[in-house]
Amino acid sequence: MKIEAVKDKSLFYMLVFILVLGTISSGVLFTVARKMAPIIKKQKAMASETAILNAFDISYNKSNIVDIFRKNVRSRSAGDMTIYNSTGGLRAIELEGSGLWDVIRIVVSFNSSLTKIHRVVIIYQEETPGLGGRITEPKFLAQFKGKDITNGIRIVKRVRNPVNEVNAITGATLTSKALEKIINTGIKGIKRMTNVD
Amino acid sequence: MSIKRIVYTKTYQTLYNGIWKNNPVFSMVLGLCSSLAVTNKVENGLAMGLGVTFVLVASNMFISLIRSFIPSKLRMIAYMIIISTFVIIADQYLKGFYPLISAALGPYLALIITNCIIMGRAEAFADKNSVLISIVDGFANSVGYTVILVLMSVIRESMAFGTILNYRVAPAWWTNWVIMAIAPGAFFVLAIILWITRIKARVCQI
Repeated sequence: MKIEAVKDKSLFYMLVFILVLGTISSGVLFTVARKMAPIIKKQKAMASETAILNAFDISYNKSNIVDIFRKNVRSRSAGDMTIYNSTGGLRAIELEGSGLWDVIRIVVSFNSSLTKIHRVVIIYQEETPGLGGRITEPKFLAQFKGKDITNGIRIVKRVRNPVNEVNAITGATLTSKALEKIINTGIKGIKRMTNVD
Repeated sequence: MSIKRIVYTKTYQTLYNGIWKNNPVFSMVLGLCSSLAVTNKVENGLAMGLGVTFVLVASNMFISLIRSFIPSKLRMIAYMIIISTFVIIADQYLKGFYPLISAALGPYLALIITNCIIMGRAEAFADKNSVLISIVDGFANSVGYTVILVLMSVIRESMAFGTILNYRVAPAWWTNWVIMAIAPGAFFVLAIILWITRIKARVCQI
């Protein structure tokens, strides 16, 4: 029985074909997913560790990120939040929240007395390139250094109170507001954690 | 074999058609979504081009290999299963080994599944030709696609950020054209490329 004669006429052949193709495809993807899962998990962890080292101004090379992190950073978890403490006395938290198009993941570091922001580092964002995407620019992020967190942070069109306000990105109001919400949620969280302590 | 004879071989004709004469972007007007979306930076355009190359060559090869067994009523479903398998493999590989590029491409890597070029070549070529020539066709079309992506990326990145592959190329007095980093800029650049290639095609009658 030739396949050419059967393949377009036999329902049974079509069902078997799709079943076999689907099974092979699923098998290949399952194998690939299993092999890649630990590698992808390691990459995500390394992205967080790199961001935390950057937030603490700790130098590292691509080859020694994990060692430098273990040597210089201690972590402490409470509930759903983890506080990272550097040997230099700084503290940091990793935060995630909704941006305009996708989640924004950041690390915010604070001084030891938890009164001022030391640095904001963006780990992941999918905001509009050239607009919201500019939250990764050093010039924008440098504004956060030294800002007082007593009453939270404000990202505004025009700075009137430089104590806790920074300039938003022109044309990226929604992303700026999203980032402000994420940082302020983190500030509330870390204050709650340290008050409990 | 002399140069004249090489020109008339099926391999050469397939390469020539895929890269130039029937270029998927400016001649067949396919794959426009990704051409517009990921060409804001050269590294993104290159990465997308490489991703499409892998998927197109692999899917063409596999579809050609099993073309005798694919029922005609199920060929689109079969193409989708095969193409999506290779796309997911490419996605996982980038996430694992090149996470920054994976992040930069975002959802557009997964959207290669919907790229008309890949389905188009599967239906128009791989389903009807042998494995080796299907591989050549896949390679040629993906090279043609990548070349246009890189050209668009070079124009857009240099005007939008003053850089190419993150190396400063614009002079100090250059003011970045932010519009080139977003969708309208992509449309302008693509339209100009289509316009120039259409004029050239008419003049040279390619």
